[in-house]
Amino acid sequence: MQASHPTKTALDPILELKKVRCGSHGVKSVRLQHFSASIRSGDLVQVALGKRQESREFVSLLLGLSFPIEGSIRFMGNDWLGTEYTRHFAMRSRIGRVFTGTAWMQNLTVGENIQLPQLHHRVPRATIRDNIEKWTTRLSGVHLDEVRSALNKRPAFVDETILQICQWIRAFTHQPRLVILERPLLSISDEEFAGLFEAIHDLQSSGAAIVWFSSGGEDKMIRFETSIRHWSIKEGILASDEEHRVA
Amino acid sequence: MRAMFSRQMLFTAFDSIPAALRFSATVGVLIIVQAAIWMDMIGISIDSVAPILWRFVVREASPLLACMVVIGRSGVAIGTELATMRAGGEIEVLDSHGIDPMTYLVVPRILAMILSIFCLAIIMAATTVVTGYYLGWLMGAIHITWSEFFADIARNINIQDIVFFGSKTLISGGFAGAICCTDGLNIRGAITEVPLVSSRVVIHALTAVFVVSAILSILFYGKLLVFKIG
Repeated sequence: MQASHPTKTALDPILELKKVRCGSHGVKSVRLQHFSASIRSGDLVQVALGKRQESREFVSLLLGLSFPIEGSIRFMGNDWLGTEYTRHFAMRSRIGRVFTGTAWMQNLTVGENIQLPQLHHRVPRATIRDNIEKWTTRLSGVHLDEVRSALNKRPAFVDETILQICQWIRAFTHQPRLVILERPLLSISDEEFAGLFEAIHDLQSSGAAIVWFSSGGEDKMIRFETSIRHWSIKEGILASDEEHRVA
Repeated sequence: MRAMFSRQMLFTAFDSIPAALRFSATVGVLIIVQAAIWMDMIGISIDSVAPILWRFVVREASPLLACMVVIGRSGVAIGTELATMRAGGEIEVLDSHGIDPMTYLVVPRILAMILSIFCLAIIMAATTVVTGYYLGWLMGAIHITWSEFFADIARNINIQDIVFFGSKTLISGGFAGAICCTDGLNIRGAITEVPLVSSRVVIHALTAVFVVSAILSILFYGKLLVFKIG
């Protein structure tokens, strides 16, 4: 007899943190003290980091790569606990991520890096090619030729701005349900933001949730005219603020 | 995974062939020189060296030499590459995209090492025997023709030696591959640990290979030196 599952609706949280407590391995990392929050379809959450603060450890927690001392983290209703690694990897394949720091496999070309997660999850090559072409055209702006050429080069030989655009492409190509952007505007000049903002808006409209880690004092989020939720960090501890609309 | 396996095979097996040929040719020379000295001392004709050469090469020398070549050349590279990837955060990049590092990085490397050691051991066994014969022939120590020498070897090939050769190379290769990968991935994240991994990989993998060889020798032939076990 088949087990009945509750129907997932748009109101079900994509990412849910319940009373999460975790320390940190360094003073730069974000700490959580019984932090609870949920992110739903279409949400855009800005996490304002201090200038010296790093998001990597916290993001690892959200992706189930490390575990909290207390509390639970669920992605699309499923937790990261246990030894069902295949399920965990399949869950992570629905999450797009722009990294700060190391973001690329150095022994692959940028194009191979972008294709790898999808190939691994058995997306047909033709679909991958079409998706990459679509997002490259959409996000590259004036750098289109440079980005196309970068796809055939190893990351070490590609300019930082172009690599950052390629990170956006990789994060968006596989129709993610959750996109985690760690300082996505690093190395990018003002005139190149428009493509990213539009893409994020469209992803939100199609039901994805966005978590955006911005560096201190970054005012570029104002360009969003949708509802933004803010998580702030006070004395190194993450706190969820009231939702408010940015006019 | 297939692409990674192919790349690793190219690096571990194909690119190792020149080094394997050099080592096995030298070992062929060493064996025939020693055989000539010892057989002369005990009064046996060097012409009957074929079965001794063949058995020593197939049972012990070529599997061990192949392991040494692969560990020294590729095992260290695998260990340091994985350690650098771990320290540099590349493993986290894979994990974040839902790519199992075990499937993508470890399994193809272990399989490539197993297959490479097996193939290289065959090449090395052939090279050792051929070099041994020709050096003995040039020295005037071996008087029989190559076809007689080869026929002598062919008569001494038995299924037990072939099974032993296969299991020894495959099992040793598996151990060597697994140790190189785990040592590489087990660093705690500091890039300064990477150089240490290279020496650790060699010592651990060679120790495992020698232990596996010894255990298999005892299991297969039931003998430890000249004493019958059991």
